Amino acid sequence: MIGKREARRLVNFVIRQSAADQVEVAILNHKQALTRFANNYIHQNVSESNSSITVRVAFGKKLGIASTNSVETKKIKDTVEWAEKIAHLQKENKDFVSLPKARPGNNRRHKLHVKRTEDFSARARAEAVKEIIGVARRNGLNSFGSVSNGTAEICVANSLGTFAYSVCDDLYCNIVMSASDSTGFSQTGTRDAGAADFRGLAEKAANKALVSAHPVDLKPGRYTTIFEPLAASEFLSFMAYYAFNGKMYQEGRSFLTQKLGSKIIDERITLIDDPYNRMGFAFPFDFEGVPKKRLVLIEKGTAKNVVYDSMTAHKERRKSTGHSLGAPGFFGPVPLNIVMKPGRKSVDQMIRETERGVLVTRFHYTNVIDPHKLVFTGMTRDGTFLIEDGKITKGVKNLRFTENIIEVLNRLEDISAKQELVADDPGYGARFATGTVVPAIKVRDFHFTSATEF
Amino acid sequence: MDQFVKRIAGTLRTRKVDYGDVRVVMRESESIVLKNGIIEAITRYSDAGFGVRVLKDSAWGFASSNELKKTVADRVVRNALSIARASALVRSNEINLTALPPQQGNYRTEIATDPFTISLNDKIELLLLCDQAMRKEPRVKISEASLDFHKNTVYFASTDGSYVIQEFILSGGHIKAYAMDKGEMQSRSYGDYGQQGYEFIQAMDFAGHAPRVAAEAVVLLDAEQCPQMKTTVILDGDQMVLQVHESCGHPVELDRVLGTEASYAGTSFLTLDKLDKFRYGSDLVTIAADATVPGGLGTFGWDDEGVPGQRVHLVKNGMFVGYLSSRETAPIIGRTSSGAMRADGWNRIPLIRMTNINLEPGSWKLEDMICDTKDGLFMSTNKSWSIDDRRLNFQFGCEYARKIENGRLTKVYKNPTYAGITPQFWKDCDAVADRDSWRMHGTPNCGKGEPGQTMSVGHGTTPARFRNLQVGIAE
Repeated sequence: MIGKREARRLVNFVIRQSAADQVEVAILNHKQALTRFANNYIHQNVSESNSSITVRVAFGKKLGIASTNSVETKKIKDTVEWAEKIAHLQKENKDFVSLPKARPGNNRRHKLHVKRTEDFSARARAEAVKEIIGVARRNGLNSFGSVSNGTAEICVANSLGTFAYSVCDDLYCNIVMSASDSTGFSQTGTRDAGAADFRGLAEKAANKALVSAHPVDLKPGRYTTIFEPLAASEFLSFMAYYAFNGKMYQEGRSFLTQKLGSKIIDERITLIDDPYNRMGFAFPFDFEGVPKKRLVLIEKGTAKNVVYDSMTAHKERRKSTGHSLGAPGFFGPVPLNIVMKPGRKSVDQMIRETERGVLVTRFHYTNVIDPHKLVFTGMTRDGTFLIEDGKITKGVKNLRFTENIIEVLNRLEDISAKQELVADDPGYGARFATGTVVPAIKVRDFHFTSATEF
Repeated sequence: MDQFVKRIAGTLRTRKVDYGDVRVVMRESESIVLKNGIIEAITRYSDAGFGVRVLKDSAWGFASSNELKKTVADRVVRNALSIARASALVRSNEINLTALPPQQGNYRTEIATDPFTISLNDKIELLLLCDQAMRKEPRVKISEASLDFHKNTVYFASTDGSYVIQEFILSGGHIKAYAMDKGEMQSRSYGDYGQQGYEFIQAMDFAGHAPRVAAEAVVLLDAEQCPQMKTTVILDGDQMVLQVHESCGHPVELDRVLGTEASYAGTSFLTLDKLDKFRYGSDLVTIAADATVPGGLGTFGWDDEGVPGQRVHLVKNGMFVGYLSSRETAPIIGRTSSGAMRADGWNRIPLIRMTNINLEPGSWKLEDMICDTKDGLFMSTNKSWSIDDRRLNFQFGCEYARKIENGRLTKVYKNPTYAGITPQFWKDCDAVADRDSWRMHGTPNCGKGEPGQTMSVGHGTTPARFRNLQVGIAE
């Protein structure tokens, strides 16, 4: 981590190197460490420290982008030169108007940097794993999962005066508990490592594995289904990427194209992209340095907004909503802080009110079949239960579903009062925590299309 | 760089680790993406760093940094050792790696033309040609065309005395047409990756394929929905890539079988008791992992723990006979490493990954296979994929299907999907096309591990026929 002053010096240095009409610099320094365990022992334990500097230059409407992970001055100068060389070879991009102009940021203070998360050591992670494994052993189970923590320092600036800087930390933990013929799962993500309850998480996963022991076959078909927050979050994630994406909306590839202002799902559903929600991973700006604001996406079932970065916003002569994923932005802008408004019932009550149904802990390998119509498929995993006469009676073998998300959300029965932060796993690239704040939901006639053998 | 790498290996020896290795990886990438005649971006990315892996008292540690400096190297070695000590707090039984004689040498991708020497203008002109051809179809509303090139140089040294240097060049391209009309959207695409130079792009003839891609996307707009039924299906070679990848490549990864990927990617139905005893498919199904075949994305001289690239059978005449393994896992099944440990860059540890997982060609001419099919479907080009965490229940979608009636390809169906249970599916394979239809394909985006790793893997495939397959979505 180089600190705000050095970050400012570095971005100004990069901007000065270029003769372009406009220059943008995005610096991402991060370090992360991850301890992985399986069969009740630590089998992988890694750490990394990395940087990336991405330079976007514009000569008129000709753009060039180059990146490096070197912090050496010569490499940074080479990167600026590459970006300029590319821009000169480019054709004009008629959709480009300007990089974002400086805008006042959100003045609220956000506790993003938590020192004890940054300092959470390999030994601390091992002690956490020890606690998890202790729960597994006491219950005669095998445990699998990971505990990881990371720190990201992000600075985005451009030659039009935009300057945004922040340091944020997070800890993520996932646990699979395995019995002879059943599994259970739990996970958490938090900015504050001190808030992680590893034993509680382990007990939650263990309980699911124990209750779902000796799972029975369930005939594929349509069932009233309760989705715990982890499973419910997948519906929202697919909508985030394929429906609320302003680029897909403009191209006619989003389900919401020509539907803004229309009621599309059950009126009890309200979705807000809220980067400052106290339960979520607050973050004040996007990867073009544009301040983030609370944005209503669905209000009482009616589609209200999609999200924009600077390129898509200019196409409609409006302002970016602060949802850029950064240059080059092939995929388009995406809301990363979706919050679904809660309902009034507890999950226990939702179960009690179910004569016959299924409770799903989480999904595996969900994938879009038709992104335009929001049809997707996937498997249940790590805790799928049969509900009979208002009680969870047994585990069921995993099921495949094939469903249209919009139709599912129009078959809503209930929303739980309690929301949870479902943290996204640390993923593939640089450490940057995101997650969805979501309640459990209950829907009728959810379509399970086939079964598997376990 | 030689000195930097050898110095770290020497330091590890003095620290008396059970085993240690160091990898320096330097990457250069170039990507050009064009959409509807506009170049969305040309990007150039360079990335370099090193990672140190140690095994001390049967506990692993790994640390890495992007700063290729002596002082940082010393810190990274200390960090890796400190992490190994933490791992030892919750360790397993003794870890024994399979013996490996010291490896020395160089590997380099054989190329005719370095893609980084071709001018950006030439590459842009090619993409514009494709774009223009696709947008000649009025109902094609979005056209995409892209090129990707990567040059990776890897220096590897271990405490076993191995020191190898490898340079890989990867080239790839993709074109896609989205046709839209009356609320319907259909797409058709063409593309591939290879460990080759710019000659790969030329051989793909993207401009020649662009009109067909666009025309087929438009035809799909007016096509009938693929019906729900059980029928005979011939999967085209490009769809067999996904089929082999998901239902054979992943379940034969020995780390999945042993549970070390259970919390993320999942496990495998190919449990240890099934090795050499389990009928995976029909007699016609033979699948090998081959890191030696020219041009494959999974071709190399040595894997990322210094084991030479090799060819091993996974499925032979339908019987399950082998796993992808590492120096740590192979002794558990009484074998030596299959040379499948691969890392996504300097900042990731090697994991058991696919190399080139190839379906061996059969004896059927594709035309004869179609002629021999009275009633069925011919499906091409993957569109969607999903499979359970033990790799049994799968449901895959394709872009394009043709009905087969009395040995002839007839009408087009849109949104074709098919589903099955892996071993049953492969047992129902009754025809595999011959070498004339066989070709190497590249999958540059295979995901696995925590933190996530993306790997480039190869698949040599050819069309194959499957009986009694569920297509459409069963109620």
